[in-house]
Amino acid sequence: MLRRWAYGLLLLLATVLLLILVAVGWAYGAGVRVSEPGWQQGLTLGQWRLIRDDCVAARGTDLTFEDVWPLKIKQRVLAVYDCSAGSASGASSERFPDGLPWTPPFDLQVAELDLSALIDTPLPVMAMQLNQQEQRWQLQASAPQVALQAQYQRAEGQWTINSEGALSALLPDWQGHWQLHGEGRWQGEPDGEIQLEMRSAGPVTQSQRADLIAQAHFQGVDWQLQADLAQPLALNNDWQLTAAEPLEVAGNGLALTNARGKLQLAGPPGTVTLQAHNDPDATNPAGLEQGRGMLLLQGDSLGGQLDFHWQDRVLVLEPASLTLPQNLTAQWQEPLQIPMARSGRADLPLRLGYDGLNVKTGSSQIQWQRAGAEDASQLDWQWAGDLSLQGQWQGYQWQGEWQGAVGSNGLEGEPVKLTARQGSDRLSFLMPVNTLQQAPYGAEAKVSGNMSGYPLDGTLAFAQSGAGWAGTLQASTTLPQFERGGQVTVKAPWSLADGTVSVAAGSQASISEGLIGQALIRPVSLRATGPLQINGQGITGTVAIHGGGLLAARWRLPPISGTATMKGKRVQSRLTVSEWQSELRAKGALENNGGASGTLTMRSALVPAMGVGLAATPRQGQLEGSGRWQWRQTLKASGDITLTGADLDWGSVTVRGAAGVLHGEYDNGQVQLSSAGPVTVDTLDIGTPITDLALTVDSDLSQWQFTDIRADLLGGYLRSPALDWPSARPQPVVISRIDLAEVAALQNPPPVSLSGRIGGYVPLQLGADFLVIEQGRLANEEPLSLIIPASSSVQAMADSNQAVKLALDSLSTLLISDFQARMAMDKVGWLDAAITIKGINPQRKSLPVVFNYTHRENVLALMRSLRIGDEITEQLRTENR
Amino acid sequence: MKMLKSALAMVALLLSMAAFALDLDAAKSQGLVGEQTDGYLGVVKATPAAVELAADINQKRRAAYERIAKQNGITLEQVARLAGQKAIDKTEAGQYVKTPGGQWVEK
Repeated sequence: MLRRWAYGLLLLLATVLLLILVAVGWAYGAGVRVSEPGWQQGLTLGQWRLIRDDCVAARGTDLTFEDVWPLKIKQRVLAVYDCSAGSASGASSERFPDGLPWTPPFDLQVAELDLSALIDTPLPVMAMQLNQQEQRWQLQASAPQVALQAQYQRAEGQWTINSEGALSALLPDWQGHWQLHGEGRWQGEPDGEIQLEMRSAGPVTQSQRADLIAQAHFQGVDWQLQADLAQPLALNNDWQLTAAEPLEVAGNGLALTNARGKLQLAGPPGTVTLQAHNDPDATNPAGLEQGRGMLLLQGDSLGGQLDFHWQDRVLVLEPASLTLPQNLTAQWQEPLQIPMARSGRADLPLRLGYDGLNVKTGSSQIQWQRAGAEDASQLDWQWAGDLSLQGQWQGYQWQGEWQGAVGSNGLEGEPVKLTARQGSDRLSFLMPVNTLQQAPYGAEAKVSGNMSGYPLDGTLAFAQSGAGWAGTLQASTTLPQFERGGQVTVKAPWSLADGTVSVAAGSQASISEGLIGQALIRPVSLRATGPLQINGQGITGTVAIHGGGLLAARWRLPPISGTATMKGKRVQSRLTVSEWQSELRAKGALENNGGASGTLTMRSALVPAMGVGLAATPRQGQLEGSGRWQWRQTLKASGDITLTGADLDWGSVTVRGAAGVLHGEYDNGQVQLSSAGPVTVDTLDIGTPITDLALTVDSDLSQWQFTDIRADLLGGYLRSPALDWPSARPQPVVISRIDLAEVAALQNPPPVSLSGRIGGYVPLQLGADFLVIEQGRLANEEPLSLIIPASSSVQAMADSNQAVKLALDSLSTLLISDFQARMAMDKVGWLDAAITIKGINPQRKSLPVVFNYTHRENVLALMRSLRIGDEITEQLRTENR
Repeated sequence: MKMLKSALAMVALLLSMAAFALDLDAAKSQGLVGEQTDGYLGVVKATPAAVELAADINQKRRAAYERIAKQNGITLEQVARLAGQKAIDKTEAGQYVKTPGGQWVEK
């Protein structure tokens, strides 16, 4: 007896074990994978997944088998995913089931059901209970502000569904309430009716509310829909939907069999009116009704009328010409016949327009095939044909062509060819499309041609990157201003997202060394120090600038470096020339009228290197300036330049301690300079030191006017109300109180001893490259004295000639009562001087003395002395070594 | 082998220097530069080498002119014009000089 019980127990255990093994094997074969098994008042599974075709179709957490019969399962989290897109087996193409399958009784409770991955609408996480007893299925699901109940009696095939909730639970931007009721039979082909009511519905941003009632009937593939709006329904972006007549639509699968109604969509671009009706008494032999309708576009950005009719499962769009927002147009001149079927093809001879561009199809056919029965995402479609483009856009005449196909499998075909012309500008674009067949899409377009006189050659590589695009722009051109060199190369990795182009840090544009005229331009480079953001607001970012400088036969600009920081339409730059200790700062902003304006400041030391191309050599000093500039077709600028402590050498002529403020105006090539207050010079040494010079300046760079000229000279002073350079006539310079003792002291040791003061006037004509003195006169302003000290040189002169001896004896000591000097110099340097001296020699018993002296000499010829010539010759001889 | 490579590199360097270096006589003979009345060398046919040579020579000339002007109590410009006349006088036949009207002519 005991043995029999033992055998029985063993048999029972073996059977249970076998059932468990079979269950596990079945589950594994069905794609169920489990982990973290355990036991807690029943079998528990920490994690499980359902895998279909390498796709996780469902995932669960914390599953507990609470009872075996009837099966009772509790599940804390259940998430369901969409595997249909990647399904290779085409499971969805299987025939719609005749009803829910037979199952043993069960009870499934899910605390958190997550269906958000199944559809685009963000469904809330719901709690769900699904049970079946005696083949009566019951489903209850709830979430905050959402409730759903459904029942299905397998024996009779009856089903009902009831649901209600707040619209915001399904559409966060909407408010209102919805209620859904459905019932019918599901035994074989399903049939039934569903009624949906939406009360006080509308976007949260709109105050208007509307009630919508829709009722749908279906039986197999036949369906009917009736919908009506009690009030206009506000939509997003200021659109509004009005049902002028209730909408009644019926179909057979995808085929439209019946349509009646009038809907109007009104928004900022205009109104869209859709109305349709059946042709009365026009049922064709296949039992399908036929009808016609109209789509009317009216408004600022909308226009046109599209008549259509349907018959024999074919929708026919009559020839139409439609105006759409964004300057888009569409027209076709032959009826478009579109089969209303799961699979089909249609010719699409279209003309599309955008702004001044027109795209025309040649051969043009679209075909489609729905891979699955229920899943619209499985629609395979392809348009194939050829396109030609022509038109005017952005000032260019465009022409292009392409032949190929585009569809759910991407693009394929010939490279896209585009040509843009404007005057002598011509750009050709060539873009292969073979790399656009599947994501991530990308291609490399080539551009070549001539733009604004610039030969252009480049590539633009782009590829999908996240939600945007990215790629690299590479281009080269030669600037036409350059006679040699001047190759511009650009290399800029970029990305495009949310309407903003971001050029990567390190992107660079450079110009190679080249010649413009006789100036050698050293290499120039612009490099982005950080990302550059480019959008409708302008450019934001910083660019480092480096220029190698300029070199010409007579002048040189040292290397320049700096930065330019852009922020939208504003730019701020700082440039330095370190060899000159110079710094320029400029700010600017683009104006709405296409111009630009800003300010600039500059600061620089005066260094000898600046004088390479000048007649004068700056030795030291400081230059500071500030001003404003404006660009409106032409450049205008104004500002002040302050000079302090400036020393200049002009050969043997030296200027020390020059200072002043110059105000400058620039207008389209015209320059005007004027001093603000006097320009002063501590010492101007022209062989004779002139001190404390002050004058005012006014000039347009071709004509200089110096006014109110004052200076100290040899114990006296000079004055001139005005001196023009160049001038056509002599201008007086008055000199007075010249101390003859200081004149004598110009030579060391002084050859004579002089006292007294003289003065007069010197009319000067300052030519462009000459100096004329016309009838200059000097006279004594007080008694003068002259003493010729005895010296070996005077004795030698006296010994050489008796007449000279007499003159020297008479002049050795002289009290001069009258001194007159006249002088003149012509353009070529001939100086004529005549001097008359009247006085007495007190050491000769007041012997009256009258001394006349004339002198003629070419002062410019003096410079052609043999010594100077030899030095120059030596310089020229040795410079080639 | 290493010495041979070094020697070849040296020869190549010398050849390249000879190829790129441009002296004043050669530049004048090739008609790239010429003398002007202002005392400075001008570029007749612009090439980078000609511009570099002219700039270098002119910088040295200017320094010499300034020294001479200071020593003789005259301006740099006056010395430069004297030098220009002398340089044009010394220019060999077939080389370029600039006329006062600004035209380059072969002497």
